[in-house]
Amino acid sequence: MASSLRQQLFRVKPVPRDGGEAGSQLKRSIGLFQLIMIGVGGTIGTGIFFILSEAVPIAGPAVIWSFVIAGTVAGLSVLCYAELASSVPVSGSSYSYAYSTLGELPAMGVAACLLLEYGVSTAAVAVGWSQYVNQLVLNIFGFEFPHELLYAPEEGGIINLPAVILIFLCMGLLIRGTSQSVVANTIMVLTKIAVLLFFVAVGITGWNVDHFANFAPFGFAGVMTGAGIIFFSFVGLDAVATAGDEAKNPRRNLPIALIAALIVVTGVYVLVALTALGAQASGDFAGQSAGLSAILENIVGATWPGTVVAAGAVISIFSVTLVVLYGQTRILFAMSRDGMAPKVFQKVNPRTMTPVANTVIVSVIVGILAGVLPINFLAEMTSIGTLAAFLVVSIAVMVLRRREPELERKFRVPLYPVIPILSIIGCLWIIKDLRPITIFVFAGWTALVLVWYYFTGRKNSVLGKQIDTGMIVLTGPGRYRLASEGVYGDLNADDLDVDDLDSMDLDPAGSEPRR
Amino acid sequence: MTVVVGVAPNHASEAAIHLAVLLARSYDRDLVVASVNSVAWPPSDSRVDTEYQTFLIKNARAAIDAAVALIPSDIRVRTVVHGASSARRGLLEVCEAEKAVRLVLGSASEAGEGIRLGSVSFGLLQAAEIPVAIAPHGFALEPGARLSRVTAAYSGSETSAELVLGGAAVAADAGAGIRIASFHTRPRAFASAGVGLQAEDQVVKQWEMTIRAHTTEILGEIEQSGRVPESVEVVVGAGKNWREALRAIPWEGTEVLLLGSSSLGPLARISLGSHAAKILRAAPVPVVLVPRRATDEYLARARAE
Repeated sequence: MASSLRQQLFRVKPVPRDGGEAGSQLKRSIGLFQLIMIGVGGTIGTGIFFILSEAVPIAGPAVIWSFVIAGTVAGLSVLCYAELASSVPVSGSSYSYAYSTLGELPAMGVAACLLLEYGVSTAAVAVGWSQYVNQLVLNIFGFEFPHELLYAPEEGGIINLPAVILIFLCMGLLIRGTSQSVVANTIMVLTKIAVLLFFVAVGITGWNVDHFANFAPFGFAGVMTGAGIIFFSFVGLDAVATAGDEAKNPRRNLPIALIAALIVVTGVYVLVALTALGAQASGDFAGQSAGLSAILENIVGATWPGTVVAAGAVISIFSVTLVVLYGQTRILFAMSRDGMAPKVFQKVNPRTMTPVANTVIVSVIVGILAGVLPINFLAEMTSIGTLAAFLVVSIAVMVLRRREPELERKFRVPLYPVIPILSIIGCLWIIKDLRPITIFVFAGWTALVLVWYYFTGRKNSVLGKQIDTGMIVLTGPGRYRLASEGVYGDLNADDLDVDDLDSMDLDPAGSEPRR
Repeated sequence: MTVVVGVAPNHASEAAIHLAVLLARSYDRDLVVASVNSVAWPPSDSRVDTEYQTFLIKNARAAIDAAVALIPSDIRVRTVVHGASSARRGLLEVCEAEKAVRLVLGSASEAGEGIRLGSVSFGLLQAAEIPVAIAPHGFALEPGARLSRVTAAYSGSETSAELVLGGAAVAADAGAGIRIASFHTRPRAFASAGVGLQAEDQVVKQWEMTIRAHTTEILGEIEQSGRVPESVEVVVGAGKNWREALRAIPWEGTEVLLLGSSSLGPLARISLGSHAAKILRAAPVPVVLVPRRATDEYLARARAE
């Protein structure tokens, strides 16, 4: 039973209706406070340590508004995210949501965005880290890395060596095992919050209101471009949304947690940005590496506060790199399980229980990106990937409401359809202000992934094989159901897995699958 | 060829005696009950030292007598009081002299479940070249009981696969079944990675499939070897922590858990990997720790037959 091209491109992965995947043991265990902490911990630190020196030259002191706008748009999208997460209880981020709502081709589009978002943001964060490592080493040992080993070729160097080293350190930790990485991450999240509060406490002593004189030198356009660059600093908020299936009382707690986390995060960002701007003229931000650290050193006239911030940044940015690298490997894992990425990405090492080959491949590619690309380009690429993924999620919420109105939703977007539409407009609005080169590269990359999908993923699709073998039957335009409830139940059981299809006789003539 | 059980003066672990009886009966070996007392150093004929030595020997004898009283009549028993500069060295010397195939010890702590290693048993693990069996506190035996099953812990490493093959040969010798067991604690997911808190579920599922595929291969190899155990099976124990993971699978009262040595340790001796140490602490049944050289010998036996 071969399906037509249109059917193939828009085949939709059935939504599990039993409220969760087999094997999930974390049922409704996360309370409101923990949810807020997930959002705050997951968000703060991604960009604030080094993004100011990228955004202030473009937005001026009005960068504060850039933070608020980026935060608001992220918040709107994240509400949409929360509805999908609570109604499509699968892991794998917006890729899985798109696969279960819009179809295989849009899911691959989202996957392209996510690969860009995760892969590139790991690289971006690693590059920011290297600036702080350099500052720390300089303050403590009086030694500075040679320019050639600290900057990308476009910035006059050869390779950003500390960034590459960081990626490989994270790779080692992730290969060793997730448990250790989680503990390391928790410690680092707490460190980064403490360090930012320290920055505000010391930095506020250097307050000079004159620094706000020329508030928005490039007007509203500058503010919006700044928001685009800053946007990826809010990516961590989607972690709250993805906890939808495990949150207690999600209908009430999810939106409260999202909004509370958003307020706390935006508050901290604005506070740090205000402190930084009050302490240093906006003209001095351009090209400043290890910005927060340098600001404190200028105020106090001694290196120790800068050293504290640099040390904190080194620890906390390490955690961000670790987390994002982890996210990247798990998304590729989910794609590989669906037949959308090569099989090597789903190989789990039996001794360490981690996808080792996957982690190594991702780390090598991200290491190369971090080593040779300049930071502002990386930051913009991350933002556009995130924006595009959020855009699709916002569309998917509306599609799913129409297509599956009866589906149980543990959380529903308030003010529907205003919020999804505002979210779409907001995302598009920020995207249009990104530099043309960013948009071209993004479009090129997405096209490349889709071409790859057309020639490879489409044929290897596990869902496609299930349909062709009659395990899943066509029930309507673009919609499929598993052949029977019994088969569906077995599919989620441990003894039968979609991978078992490999051992089946997939006869194109449509004979019954042999087991 | 014997099974040696070490008893400490003033503290004869009943659990260790029960385990030693189980192994001696199942493998049809003589049981040697050994107690080590410290020798004077340098050896002196002074009166005080002789008195002290006499006291120690008396204590050791008392401990041995208490142990022997627990041993059923169907077991052939010999007793040894051996003088050595340390308990660890003394027990190793007894094992060598008695051509021991197993050294049996008791758990150090009497509190809680699982096995706690004391300084002597920990030192012995580092130095022993034969498998060391350790009984959890409270381990007891029904009259006439024999080893019913050997559960070999499989971690996925090559050494661990060899341990399983070797364990199968040992189980076959004792007329027991073999069970291949893998354990995992569900790793917590990164809260902020944005891929959902269930991201790890799929990895764990894939891991289980890989483990099951590997163990099926090992089972095939066991079945091809000359000495096939009574029964063969594969289980995976999962839980939030190691205690839960170990208790997720059923255990029999006359079963031992075979644990291999860390592949990072010295070739001949037992060094516990981080997982093995955790499994040991949570073990509900006696654990037999196998040094890598013994694993190789097991394997050679399994393949030769």
